[in-house]
This record gives sequence, C-alpha cells and structure tokens, in this order.
Amino acid sequence: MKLELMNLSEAFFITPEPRSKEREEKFPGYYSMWCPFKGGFYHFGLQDSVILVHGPQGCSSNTRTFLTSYTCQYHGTPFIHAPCTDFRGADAILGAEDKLRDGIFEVDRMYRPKLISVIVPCCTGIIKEPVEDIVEEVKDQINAKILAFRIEGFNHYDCGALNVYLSAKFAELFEEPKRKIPKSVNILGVTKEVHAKGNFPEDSQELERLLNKMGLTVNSVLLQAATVEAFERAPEAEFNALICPQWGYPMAKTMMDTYGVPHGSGFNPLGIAAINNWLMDVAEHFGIEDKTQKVIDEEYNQIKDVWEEAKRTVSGKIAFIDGGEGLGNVGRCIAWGRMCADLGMDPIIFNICPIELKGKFHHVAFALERYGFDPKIVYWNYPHHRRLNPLRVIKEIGINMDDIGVYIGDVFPRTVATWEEGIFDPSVAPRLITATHINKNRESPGRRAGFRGAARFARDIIDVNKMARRKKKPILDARVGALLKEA
Amino acid sequence: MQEIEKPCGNKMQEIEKPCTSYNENTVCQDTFQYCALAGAALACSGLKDCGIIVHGSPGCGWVCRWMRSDHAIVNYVPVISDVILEDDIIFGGIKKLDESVGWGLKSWKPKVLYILQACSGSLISDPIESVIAKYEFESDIPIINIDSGGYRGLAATGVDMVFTETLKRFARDVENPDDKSVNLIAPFLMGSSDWVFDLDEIKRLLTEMGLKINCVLTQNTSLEDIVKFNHAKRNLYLTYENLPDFNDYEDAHDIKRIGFDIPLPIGIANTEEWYFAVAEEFGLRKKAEEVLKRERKGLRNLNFWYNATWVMNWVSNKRVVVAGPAPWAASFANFLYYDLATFPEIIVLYDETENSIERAKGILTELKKDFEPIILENPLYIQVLEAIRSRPIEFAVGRNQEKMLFEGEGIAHLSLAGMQTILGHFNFIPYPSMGYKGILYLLSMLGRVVEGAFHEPQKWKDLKFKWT
Repeated sequence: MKLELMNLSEAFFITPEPRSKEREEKFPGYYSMWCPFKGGFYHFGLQDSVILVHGPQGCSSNTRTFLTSYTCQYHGTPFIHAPCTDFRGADAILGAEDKLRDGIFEVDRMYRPKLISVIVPCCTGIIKEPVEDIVEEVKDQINAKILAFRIEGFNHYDCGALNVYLSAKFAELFEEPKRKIPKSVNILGVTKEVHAKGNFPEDSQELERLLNKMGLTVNSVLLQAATVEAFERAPEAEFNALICPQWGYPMAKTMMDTYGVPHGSGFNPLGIAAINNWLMDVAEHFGIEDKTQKVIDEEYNQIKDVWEEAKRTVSGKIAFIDGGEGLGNVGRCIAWGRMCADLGMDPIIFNICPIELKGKFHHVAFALERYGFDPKIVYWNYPHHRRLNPLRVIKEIGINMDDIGVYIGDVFPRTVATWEEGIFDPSVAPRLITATHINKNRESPGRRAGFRGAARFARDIIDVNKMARRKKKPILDARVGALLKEA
Repeated sequence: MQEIEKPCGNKMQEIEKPCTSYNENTVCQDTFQYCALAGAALACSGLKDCGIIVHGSPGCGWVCRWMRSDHAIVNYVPVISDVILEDDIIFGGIKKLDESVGWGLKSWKPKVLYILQACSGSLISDPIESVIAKYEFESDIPIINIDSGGYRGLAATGVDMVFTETLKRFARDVENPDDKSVNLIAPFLMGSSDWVFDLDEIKRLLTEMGLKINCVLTQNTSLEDIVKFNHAKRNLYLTYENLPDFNDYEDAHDIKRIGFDIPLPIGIANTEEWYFAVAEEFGLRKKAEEVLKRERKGLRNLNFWYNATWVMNWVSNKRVVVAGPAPWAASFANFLYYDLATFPEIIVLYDETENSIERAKGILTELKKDFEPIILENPLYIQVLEAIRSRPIEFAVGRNQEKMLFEGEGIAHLSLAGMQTILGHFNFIPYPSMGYKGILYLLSMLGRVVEGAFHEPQKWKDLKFKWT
C-alpha cells in the first residue's frame, strides 16, 4: 500500500470500524500493541488491592515480565499482588467455579485487601465462566470490595476501547458524597504515572501546583495506584479536570450523570496554548478567570525567553512525529503535535495505525472539536504490525530533510548513519526522545504538561537543533546500526 | 553421578498434574513463571532460521517476542500473531492462520516454521493440520504445530513439547554414538539472568575437559545440530525441570540424563562440585582437576584487590533472601554460604515441576545441616512477604520483576536471576557469572547491592550542608 498524507479528520473518516470485516481486509494482521489483558492488567494495581486472575498462572506472569514491572519500576506503582486460580486443562472442560469462589474467600482472608479485582483472560472467557454471578454471590460474605472485569486477550479489538471500559468499571467504586469540598478539583485519567512523591515530577503534580496557585485544592487523582478511598470520595469534588480523555471521560461522565459533578473538556495540556486552555476551563467553572490569567501570565513570563527562542528556531518547519513501536500512541502524538504547532511547526504524524485513531476516538474527537486541531497523518495499513522507517516516509511523502524542525519519537525513534557520517541521527537531524517512561527530568514532568513541561520541551528543541548542526560524529546507536549493513 | 529416573513414569495418564509443583496450602497461585506458550517460544527461538506464528490473541504474540529477546543477542527469530479475535472464537480462526502462515513463509523464508497455539487458538480447535499440509506441499518448508495453550502448563511444558516434536522430526538415528560428546539441555531454564554468557563458559569448561558439545537444545542451534542430536550418549541438564515427553525420546534413543543432582556452577564450591561430577561421568576427573587448577590462577589478583576484599567482607555474615528459579536459587544460596560465609536466611524456590523443587532441595541438604533457612516452595508473594517480615534480612537477590516487593519492604535487591533482556539487567559485557571466572562478575554485582543496602542516602539528605 502506498503512503498517503492526509488530515487527521479525513483519516478518521475513511478508516473502517475496528470490529468490522472491512478492517480485517484493509489492515491484514494488524493488532493493537497489547491485548486487553496485558494492556489492562497493571491498571488494577490500586493501593492495598489484589488482582485475582481467574485463569492460568502464565497470564499474570507474562505481564509481570514487562508491562507490569516497568510501570512499577519507572512510575512507582507498588508491587502488584496477582494470585490466580491456576486454571488447567480439566477446568477448561469442567469449569472452575469452585476454584474461583474459594479463591475469592482465600484472597479476602489472606491479603485482607480493600479491593479484589477479578479479571478474566482468554481461557475462562472462552468457556464463559459465570464470573459476575460468583462475584455477586460472594460480595456480601467478604470484607473487600470486589469488581469483575472481562479483559480476555481476544476481546475488544483495539486497546483504546478497553480503556473506556475499564474507566467506566472503576467508576463503580464512587460513593454518594457525604459533603462537597469547596474549591476542589479531581484530576482524572492519570495512568502509568503515579501521583505520589518520587524522584521526578509527574504531570499531575505540575497541574496540582498550578491549581493550587489558583486557590484550588486537588481532591482525588485517578487512577494509577490510587487508593480505593480516593475513588470513594471523588464525587465530593466540585469539578473534574481531565488529562487523558479516554481514561478520564467515562469516570467524569459517571460523576456528572450520577452526582452532578461537572467536568472540563481540556485534555493533555502540553504546550502554552493547551495549558492556558486547560486552566481557563477550570477557572470558568469557579469564576476565577482574572486570578487564573494572572497565574498564567506569571508562569509564562518565567519561561518566555526559552519558549520564544524555540519558536524562532523551528517556526515554519516540520514536526516529524513518530508513533513508535506501539503504533497506537494516538493521545501522545496528538498532544505533541499540538505543542509543536504552538511553536509554529507543521506536524506530520506517522507510525499510528489508522485503526488506533478509531479505537482512541476520544483523543481525536477532543482534538478536532475542542481545539480545531487537525494535523497531517501518514495513512498506511501497517500489515502484521510492521513499523514504517522514517526515511521511507521522508522519501515517499517528499519531505526535505532540512525542513524538519524536530523528529519526535516514542519507543524508540530511529537513528540512521554510516559508521563515518550521520544520515538521520542527532548529529544531522534534530531528534528528541519523548517516550514518557524514559523522559525523566528533575524540573519537568515526563509527558511535558504545564509550563514546566513546555519550558523543558522548548529547551530541548533548541539544543537538539544546535546538535544537528555539527554534521559529524554520528551517535553510537546509529553507528551500531550501520554495522549490520556492513556485515 | 547418579542417573535420575524419569520421575513421572506413567502418572501423567492417571491424574492431571502429578509432576506439577504448586503451593499445596492455597487455592490460589502467585508466582512469576511463564506459561507453556512462553516456554515453547523460548525453545523455538534458540533455533537458527526458524519463524514463529502464534495462533492466538495479539498479547500472546508479545509474550513470544519477549521470550525470543535473550536469544536475539546471537539469533533473531521473527514472530507474529495471527490475531484471534471474538469472531474467530465462534467461527474459527483458520483463515487468519492460513494467511499468516503464507505471509510468514513468503516474508521470512525460514528453514522451519513453528505454529504455537496460545490459549485462544488451542481451545477453539481449528483444523491446523490442513494449513500445514497445504503449505508444506507448496513450500517444502517443514511446519511444526505445538499445542502450547497456557492452561496446559508452565514454561517447562512448552519446552518439552518443542524439544520432542523438533527431535522427532529432524534428528537421525546414530549407530555408534560418541562417548565423549554431550548435549546441553535447556540452558534458558537455568534461571541465571546471565545465561547466554554462562552457557558460553559452561561450553568452554566442558571443552577444556575434553568433551565435545554435540548440540545445545537450544541456543543459536542449527538444524544440522538437531539432525545429529543422537550422536551424543549423554544429555547434561542445565535445568532441574522434568520434561516427560522428551524423557521418552531420550529413553527410546538410549541417551542418559545427567546433571540433576548437582548445583549449577555458581561460585567456587559449586563449580568444583558440578565440574568434577560431570568429569567423573565421562571418566575425566584427572583432566578436570588440571583444568580447574589452571583456572584458579585467574583469581589470584583478587587477593590484592581492595574492592574485592571489601565486598567479600561486607556481605559476610549477612542474612539474605534468595528467590528465583529452583536450580539457580538453590545454587546461589550454596554460593553465598560456602564461598562468602553469608547466610541465605530465606530461600524461595520457583519452578513448574515438583521434581525440580525436590532436586533443588536436595542440593541444599548439606547447607541445612549447619543452619535452618526458611525454604519456600512456589509460595504466593504474600507468603514471601510474611517470611521476610519474620526474619532480619539485609538484602535480597533474585529477579528484577520482584524488586518492588523487596525494596517496598526497605530491603535492597540485586537482580541476577530471570531473563536478561526484558527489563534487563543492563549487563552488556559478555562475561559469565558461572565457573571460576564468574566470581569476578558476581563480586561486581554484589558490590552494587552493598551500595544499595549499606550506603546511607537518607541521612545524606537529612543532614546535608544547608547552603542557601
């Protein structure tokens, strides 16, 4: 299939529904980065809770291999206890209801958790184990709260849809508010990053800092590694602000429909325009626009020099945004694109499979409707999850390498060089790694939210452009790649 | 060396999991052990020029990619999943498998293609044989089907299936096997995160003794190596796991199993026990003594190396948790005790088969005469937590994926077990942790845990110079 450059809105419009047969024909062998089980598992690691896998031992171990552990290690989720019912061959024939029932009682007795999340992988999903029935049957006989989640690996084609499902299920933990906390805000849709003191700041901490300056308090930050109590008391807040709309919106909608808590429509506030917008969204609800404008002005003045210099460096150039290995980083790529557009660049996003745009429709809808942001997308079918080489995109789309103001990439941007000279590596092209888990900096959140995030991004933009002027001494990563060709 | 009888015998037909070790006291299990699919992918990925199609959901494709990663240091194997989704559960996924096999054969041109069935692919019972027949006829490339659904067992189960099916398909009968040749079995189940380089050292030591390495099952192994597998009279196991189908194959070809009753060669005392036991099996004891005498000269400078003596003294008399795959954990506990005068206060043994746990306990017999460690067999992590709160522990050694459990309790943790490249141990230097040479690696690593456990950064922060 030939590469095509088109706007996000058009790509979204012409892409078939993820569950349709047409999708299977147009996108052969394409799948989301993870399956629902793997994509969902680590989000159940709420504090003092236990995941009970109604399935084989391998399912939880396989996700411990990487996804669960890296989230813990680099973002601070505590060790996740995830016992399983050790589902076996005979269980596939005879069912394992008793194992599940006994397992729930055992977990309640041994771990004394605040929440048991019973999750269903492929095996027990295929044989339709009556998990919800058993949970209903035992829930009044145990001390813990209990929820059942169907996240079979074969279920929900796109992991995007899974996030919406999980968020809505977690909303079942909300409780009728006993009071309203004046001038309080929840921040919803925080995943992977944990809102707690650590070595490096997270987006939610930058946003809390700004909200505090506006005279507001943060009630609950949901959901990664939050406490069960944080869920229960969330409806006591006056307003809900979102970070990731896909994770945040279902919870916000539940709170609005059930308890009348309004929510904002700003999301992923990366870059000056976006953070201004996000803060004013909150300010309008509380009627503190003037005060907030002063906060915004004060914050912007602190970073103005570096931000304006970055603008002068890259204005009019292309922001070449690589979705990376996952091919599904829709939210991040759109947010980076918006920040780059803030700096006067023209974003071109590739290595995002169009199916993912459909799956993560909240990000697309929010970008188009809320901000009128409609960046260019490289449309391709990514057969069998093959990733595009940036050099192929540059060649086929007809991009002049000198017009690239920054090459941004998630897990991980490509570097190309011969042993002697750079072809597309930081020594000749401005490359900026933006993968969240490896983007740890002392003064800035990893995803680059807020003013501090914008300042760091701007400083990096300036410096990677200077680095790209050296035109000699390609970096090690690129040279090592060159050895393969030599061999 | 004692030859180990096949412990399962015919029990496999009597009850479902006679050889599976599990926590008898609880309904639930919570260990970090890979499923049969992952084990199958590990075994396949050690074969050169093969490709893998996972008949299952996309996440299982990623499991297999993670499993191939350690092998990729020397041998890259392509993997895709055919993406079984809801419709396929009802209507069958054979069309997707057909397309994926066709794509894989065309794109990769492998010498052998494996179809590994994940849980979903296995339970829907697609007529996979029809796809195999079609493409083998068209392409002349062998295609091997492995029913490795995770519900069928853990990693050793998958490894057993791949070994057996691969050998049945390719290995040729030999009239006069070589008495001084040996096959090395399942190096990736040793449990050492440094297993790729440990294997190199094991091969070197065995070759120095005068043995010929006939075939490694599997790591960077060619089909030609598999063809001549039966040329060796003995299989030296680098795992304690039971592999019942593979055992049947060995019995049918009169291949002797060795290596179950000796520790892995971690440290000095273990290396000597392992090396001499292997040597005696082949009648090469004298040669082995000469080799180790020569080898130990490489450690002479440690005597004057202040950093080394510092570390060796620091870790002495400390109380330590060792947690990991059974052969590694038991052997490492021995290393701490015999070589460093450290007390492995809690030893956590994980493995799929009861045989492996029993064999690991067997090599701890001597150690247990001197003091009483807590030995946990496939415990839930909550039980590990209970144990470490019951004893004063200075640091822990185990797998990276369990680091949060220990460090969450304020116990410094050193990762030396598990797989190497996924959430890696960041060891880029191709240097072994086994044999005499491995002492240098182990002391370097222990130096890291000395820093983690005994430096006082919290006091540095609290008491720092107040400069404004």
